[in-house]
Amino acid sequence: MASKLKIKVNGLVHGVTASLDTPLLYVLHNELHLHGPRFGCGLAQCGACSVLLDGKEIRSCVTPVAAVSGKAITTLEGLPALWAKERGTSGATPALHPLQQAWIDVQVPHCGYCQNGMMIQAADLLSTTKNPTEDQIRTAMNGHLCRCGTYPRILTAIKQAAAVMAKGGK
Amino acid sequence: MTGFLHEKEYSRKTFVKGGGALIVGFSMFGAAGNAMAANGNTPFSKRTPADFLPDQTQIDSWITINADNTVTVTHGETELGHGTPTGILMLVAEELNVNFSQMKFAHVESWLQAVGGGSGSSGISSRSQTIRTAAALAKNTLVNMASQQLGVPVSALSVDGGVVTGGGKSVKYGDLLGGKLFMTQMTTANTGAAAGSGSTQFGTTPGTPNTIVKPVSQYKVVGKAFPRIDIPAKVNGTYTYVHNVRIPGMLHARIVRPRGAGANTVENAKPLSIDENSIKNIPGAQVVHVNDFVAVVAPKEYDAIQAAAQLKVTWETKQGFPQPSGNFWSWLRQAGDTNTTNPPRFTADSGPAVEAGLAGAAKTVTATYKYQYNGFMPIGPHCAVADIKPDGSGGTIYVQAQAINGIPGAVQTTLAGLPAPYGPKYASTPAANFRVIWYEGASSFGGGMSGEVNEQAAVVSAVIGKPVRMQWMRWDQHGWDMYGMANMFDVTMGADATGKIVGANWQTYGQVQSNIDETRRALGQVTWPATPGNGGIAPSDGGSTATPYSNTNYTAAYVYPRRVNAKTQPLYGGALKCNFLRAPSAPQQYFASEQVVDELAHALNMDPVAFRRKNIDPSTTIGARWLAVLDAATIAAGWKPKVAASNLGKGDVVTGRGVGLGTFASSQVAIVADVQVSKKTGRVVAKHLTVAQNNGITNGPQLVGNQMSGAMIQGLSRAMWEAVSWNKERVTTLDWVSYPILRFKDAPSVTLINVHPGEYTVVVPGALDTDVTKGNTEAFNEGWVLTGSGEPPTAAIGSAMANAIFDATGVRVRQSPLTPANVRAAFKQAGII
Repeated sequence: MASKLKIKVNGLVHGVTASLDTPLLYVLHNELHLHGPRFGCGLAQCGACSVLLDGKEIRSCVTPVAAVSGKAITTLEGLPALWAKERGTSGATPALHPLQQAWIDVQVPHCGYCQNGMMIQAADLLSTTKNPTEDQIRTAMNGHLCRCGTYPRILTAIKQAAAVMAKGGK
Repeated sequence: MTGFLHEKEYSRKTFVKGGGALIVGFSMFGAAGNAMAANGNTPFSKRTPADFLPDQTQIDSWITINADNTVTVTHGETELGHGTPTGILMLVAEELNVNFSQMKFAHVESWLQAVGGGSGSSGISSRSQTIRTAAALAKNTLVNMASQQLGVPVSALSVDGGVVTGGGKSVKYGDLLGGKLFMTQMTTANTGAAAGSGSTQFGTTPGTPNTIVKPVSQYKVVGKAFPRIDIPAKVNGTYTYVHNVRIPGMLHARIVRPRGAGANTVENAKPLSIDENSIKNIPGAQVVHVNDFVAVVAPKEYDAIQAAAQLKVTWETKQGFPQPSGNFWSWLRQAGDTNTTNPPRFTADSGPAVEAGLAGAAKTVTATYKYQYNGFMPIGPHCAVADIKPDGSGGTIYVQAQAINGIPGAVQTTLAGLPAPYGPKYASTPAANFRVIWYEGASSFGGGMSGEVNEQAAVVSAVIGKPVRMQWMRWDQHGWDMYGMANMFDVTMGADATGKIVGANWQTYGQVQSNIDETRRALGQVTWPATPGNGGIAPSDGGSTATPYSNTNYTAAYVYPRRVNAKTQPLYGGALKCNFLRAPSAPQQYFASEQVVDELAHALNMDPVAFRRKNIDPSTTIGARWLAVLDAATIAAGWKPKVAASNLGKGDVVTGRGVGLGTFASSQVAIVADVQVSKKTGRVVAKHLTVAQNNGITNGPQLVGNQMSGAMIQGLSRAMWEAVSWNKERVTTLDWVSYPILRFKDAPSVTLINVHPGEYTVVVPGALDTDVTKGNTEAFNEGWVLTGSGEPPTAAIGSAMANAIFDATGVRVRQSPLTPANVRAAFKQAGII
């Protein structure tokens, strides 16, 4: 049965109507009209649907909406504001998270469908590991699949973003 | 304006506000039966079915000059992540003398486009030839108008940034056309070539010179690096994939079928009974059932998913596969040898020269190579949204596709074939009334079944009378899509004592592309032909587009007498539905052909690169192109000549390097693979790959660089990890665990080299100072025509990896995928573990 729920996404609280076991992905896409998290497998195997839950990467395709109550969800669209908060600066939110900027600078995407999860997972990694080694990056990213073969550019972009973030975005 | 998501995008992107906006009219000059297309300024709501398939000889079908001095291109090529729209904007900016920043690419839809896309690799190399002519003629037309308006002779005028300047005066393109269309047709008289005939300047279609396009030596845009126009929105979350399209009142649909398709003609998808009560508890859930076609709809997406899973259907089950996939290769040989429906045929035959050559060979190698069925496997399963009008007048379908022009007809045919009361309503609906609006899908690398999801959405929408979003689940995509073919090759190849190949005899096994519109089959509209078509893979030595070793084909690398006898497995019983997967047939062919030459080099105690060089004729244009990539890759990788496997490492983990050539879309590639191999586990990791690609003239070096990298790594995934499995009833690889692909821990670092005569450009992703304009001029002067960039490295990577494993261990692994299990099996057989 459908229930009225409140979920906090990208800093805003939204009222939604969904059965408690509805995977978060469908609520984010169909109720909040977010395009970042995407349906890939519905099995938590590929990572196209990833979002941050209190800063940690989760698979929204298998996470019941009821399980995120009271927690903060960040999607791809919310990464710039998350970065502003992490950096602790006041003023306007930047247009892009350093990871997103690096993704453009390195021209990472091919079709881009999986890149949501790539950036979300990388944001999780860089929030706890400021200067990751290549092995650390590969380990952290290993659960995310790309069919178009963009892995080398993703590795480059994460290293570039890490360098920018270590300097506070300068 | 209904507030539909796509209309908001349209109004923002293509409707130019303010004074001087062009008024739409219809040309009187169009060829009979072809209306002139709506142009880039036509509001979404004003376009009509008459705008479908426009007159391609009209400039206005391709290019619109906007009042704000920007240019809208209505080419209609779809973005698949290949960057083709960005490349097209570069071509047009070049000919028009406008800045890249002034260029806009109109969203692709059937009532606003000139071409409608096509197969991936030819978007720039062939389908963008006419628009170059259109842009050049547009520039001439605008300069003539400026001459009249300014009172300055054409010879004294020049154009930069869309501003015509001369005699101390200037005028913008945007001010010149003010409210008018070009109304100008491309003809031999005004372009030097008939529209669509291409141009020797760009080098793709030798023939009548096109006198108005720029010489390659004057290029300022083509050959330089521009960032892709689609990437920012893909990165910030605002990009709309077809999966994101929403329209008011839309219901969510899922197709219902057993998990995993059966063999050809025995789909195992006949519902014997359906218990509609089994989903009564799901709010608003509804079953759509026509013949063997079963789908469910519900207002909420998760309800539709649950309804599809919960609906009780008893399916007919047959054992359509004579053998499960574990016995495939032995079955394939027996089936090919005994197939009387499709008898063996010679696809190439140099006659007695083959026997004479082999008889005189100093060394011969005889071996069998096997390359597995691969899947398309996009990360996002197929999706479509359809809004079919219950009154039979037409509808709108939101699709992913490489090419959209065939979709209106396919949808109309499918709907008209429905039983009454639905079908008769659409029997005489003009195909063009089914408006097709394109949005990108995920990971598009060939045909697959993306067209069927459009038909499924349209059928469900027509039956329930409401807009529908049809989304495949993961098991639909893995288990019911088409596949890339599996092939087996027996070969004997010989060389003389100097290392010259003197003959080869090939025996090949496998199927041809074979498929059926499974959706229309389920609907009872089409059936498999009683007799399967003839076919048989024609590997390496003749046949299709990827024929490197034919001595008559343009793409020949090595020249020698050969014979190819192709044996086909029965397409009915045992075969999977197959379609054109990136570089169709080429990874299979090169896995064999570039390993056997490596084996021959080893037998002769020759360095594998030196052996290949010995067999390439540098005096021909094609030979020069092949040598250029081989040189570029080996120089960049620091190749040190030695006999392969002549310096084997001790211990468990050893390293090696191998080389492989390959071609597709007439472009040449060489790859040097550096690998690390664990002898104990059989695990092989590509540590670094160096790829050199020659695509003649390079339009966008960054676009080509990304394609080289992606095609190589996807090919690596296919060769290392991918194989479709089935039991006697149906396909059993239904997710990313049962059908793994390459992951981060196995991803190589790469060096990407774009090759021009005497000039090797290392492409660093994102480096906007990359400039190959000089190399492009050299390439043009050498007769290196522009060729396709979407696929070639896919052909070369498998053999480069297998050759590197041999160098590391002294063991040949002649069967894909090169998984730890297969590699370990080869090690055990060779006795090294």
